[in-house]
Amino acid sequence: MQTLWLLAGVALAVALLIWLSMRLGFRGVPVLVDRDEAIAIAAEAISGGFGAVEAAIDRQGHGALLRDKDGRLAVILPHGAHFIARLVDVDSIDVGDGSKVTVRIPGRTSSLDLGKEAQAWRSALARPL
Amino acid sequence: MTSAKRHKPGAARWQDRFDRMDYFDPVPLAVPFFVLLIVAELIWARRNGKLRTYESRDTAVSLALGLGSLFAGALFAGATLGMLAWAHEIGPQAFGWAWWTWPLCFLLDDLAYYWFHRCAHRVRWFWAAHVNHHSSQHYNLSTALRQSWTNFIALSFLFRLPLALIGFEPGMILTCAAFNLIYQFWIHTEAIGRLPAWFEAIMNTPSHHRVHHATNARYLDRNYSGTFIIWDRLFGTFEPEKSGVAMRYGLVSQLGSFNVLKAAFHEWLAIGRDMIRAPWRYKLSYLLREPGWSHDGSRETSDMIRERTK
Ligand SMILES: [Zn+2]
Ligand SMILES: [Zn+2]
Repeated sequence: MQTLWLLAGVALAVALLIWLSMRLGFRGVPVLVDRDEAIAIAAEAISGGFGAVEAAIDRQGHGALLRDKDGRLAVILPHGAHFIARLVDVDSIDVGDGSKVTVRIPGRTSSLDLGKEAQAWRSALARPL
Repeated sequence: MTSAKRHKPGAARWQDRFDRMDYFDPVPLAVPFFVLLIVAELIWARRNGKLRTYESRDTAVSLALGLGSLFAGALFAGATLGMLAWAHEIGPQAFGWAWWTWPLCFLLDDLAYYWFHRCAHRVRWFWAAHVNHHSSQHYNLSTALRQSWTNFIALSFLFRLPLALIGFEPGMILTCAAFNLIYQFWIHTEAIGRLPAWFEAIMNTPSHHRVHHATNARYLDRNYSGTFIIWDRLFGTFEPEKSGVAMRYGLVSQLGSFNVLKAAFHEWLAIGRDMIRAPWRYKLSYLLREPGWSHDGSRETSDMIRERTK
């Protein structure tokens, strides 16, 4: 019984802390400052490294699409206040008619706004390697 | 040290202990302090404009993992104590509860923790239980509470059996282990820079433990100590924090999910997948070798990453 009260108390404290962290504004989306930051993140966060030769960042800085000299593709997406980087294959990327690019990685689908660069990527992705 | 064997207590003795669960657990008493310090750190981060220190969903996952680990701990406490009592029973001596056994027990438990923790990073089986402590990309006091749900299933208590076997009381071992865990709470913060040199030399500190949680190549698989940093210095796994180097926290391949169940179990599932796919002769290696090991070299271990980025 005592254990149950204890767990109830802890659960209440947990709810309070989560509420407080939201209340204090710890819910930001991270922003990439430039291409170099995107390239550095991919190089560091992808297993085996990733030497990007091309990179396009989202207009708001909320992610990036990158390619290395061997034609491998990588994507950087926001996750909470930080970024994650993943290798992706061509089939996981859809470029529409405009500036939007849809990227699918296991467990999530995200949209990047690559602005004018989107169409260049569209034709590049359509070319076989 | 006394070697007087306690008079033969009868075969049911350890079974008896198993039922009584008689040990002092200080963790519930520490919880209010955990909560207050997290509130203080939240306010510190807000006031200093360090808005990437916390993320509410990440905090929710960390705290949920902490809460779940209390359940798991309560569920398996009896069995853990039973195993320790059994080892204590078959050991050649019993130290009893003399005052001097407490500091000795704490020190040796900290040594056992070092080896547990080192194996938790170097053997994928143990890593599967420990990984959730590292899967946050944040480093704050809530990260400290990301405790494992599967420690017992991973048989982590094995590392503490030698203490019971050489004669320490099982209840004393668990109490010391709990105090060790409580000590490690306050070092999960970026709010404290460096402490006086003598303290940094002996004790595990925020600076040393930041290194342990960092994914920067030079920091991988370093600073395993719990309370005293001396073990890392002794066994060659110590790495000091370099000023001016930006810390990146989390996993080499970031989890990228705020799903609590995923955080608690993903590595167990990954091991299962790898073992099913691997050729027979490599199956066990996916369980027992270091995280990142693969039979075809398609993945990277921390040693490989260190080598590549030299
Ligand atoms: Zn660890
Ligand atoms: Zn830690």
